[in-house]
Amino acid sequence: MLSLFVVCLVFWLLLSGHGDVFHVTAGAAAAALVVWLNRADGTIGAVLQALPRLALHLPWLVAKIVRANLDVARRVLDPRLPIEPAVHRIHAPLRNDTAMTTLANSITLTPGTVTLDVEGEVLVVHALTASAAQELAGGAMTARVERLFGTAR
Amino acid sequence: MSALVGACLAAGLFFHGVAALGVLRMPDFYTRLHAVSKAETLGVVLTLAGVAAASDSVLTAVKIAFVAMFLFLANPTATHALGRAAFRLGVPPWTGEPEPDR
Repeated sequence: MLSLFVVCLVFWLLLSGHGDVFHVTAGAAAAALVVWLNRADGTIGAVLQALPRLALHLPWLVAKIVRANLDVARRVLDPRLPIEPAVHRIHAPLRNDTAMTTLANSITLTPGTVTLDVEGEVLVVHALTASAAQELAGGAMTARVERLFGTAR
Repeated sequence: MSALVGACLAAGLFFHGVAALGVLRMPDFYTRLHAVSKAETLGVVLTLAGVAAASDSVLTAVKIAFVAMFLFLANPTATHALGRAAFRLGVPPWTGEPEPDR
C-alpha cells in the first residue's frame, strides 16, 4: 500500500507542479485518502507490480499500432474497400487475469482486430482483414504477453 | 518547432478523417467499430503529440502524456464494451462478398 501512496503522491506533484509545503501536504493527505478508500481492494498491488512490465510492452505495441493503422487507412481509402471481416477464436493459455487483460487490450488497440469476448482461455476476436487475422493466429502477441507475465499465476 | 507541431496536427487530422470516412464506408457495426477505434489510437496520439510540442512547459507535456496513457487504457475498454455488447446481443457480423485484395 506504500507503493500506491507513492504513486498517487508523485502523480499529484506532477499535476500540480508546485513543491511548496501547502501543496505537498495537501497531496500527501489526498494520497493517504485514496489508500484508505482502497484498503479492502487486493488487486491494486498486482496492477502496480505490472506497471514496469507494461512499460516494456508499450514500445513494441506502439510500433505495431502504427503499422496496422497505415494498413487499415490504406484499405479505407481504397475505392474497392478490400476488407474480409470475420470472427475468430484465439486460444490464449494465460492463467493470469492481468496478462489476459493486457493481451485483450493489445488486440483491441491494434487496428484491424477487436476483442469481443473472453470465454475461459479463448478470446473471441473480430478481425477486419484476413491478414490481421493471420498475424493474430501466428501468436506473436500472445507469446510476447506470455513472456512478460509468465503462464502460471 | 512549429513545423513539428504542424506535421503532428496534420497527421492526426488525416487519421481522424480516415476514421470518419471509414464509419461511412464500412458495411456493418463491427467494421465501423474498427474504423472508430483507429481514430482513438494514432489520430489522438498524434494530435496530443502536436499539442505537447506546442507547449513550452515540460510539466504541461507530462500532463498531456498522462492523457495519452489514459486513452491507451480507456479506448480499448470502450471499444471492447461496445463490441461485446453487440456480440452477446447476437448482432450478425457482415461477411458478405469478400472483395479481391488488390
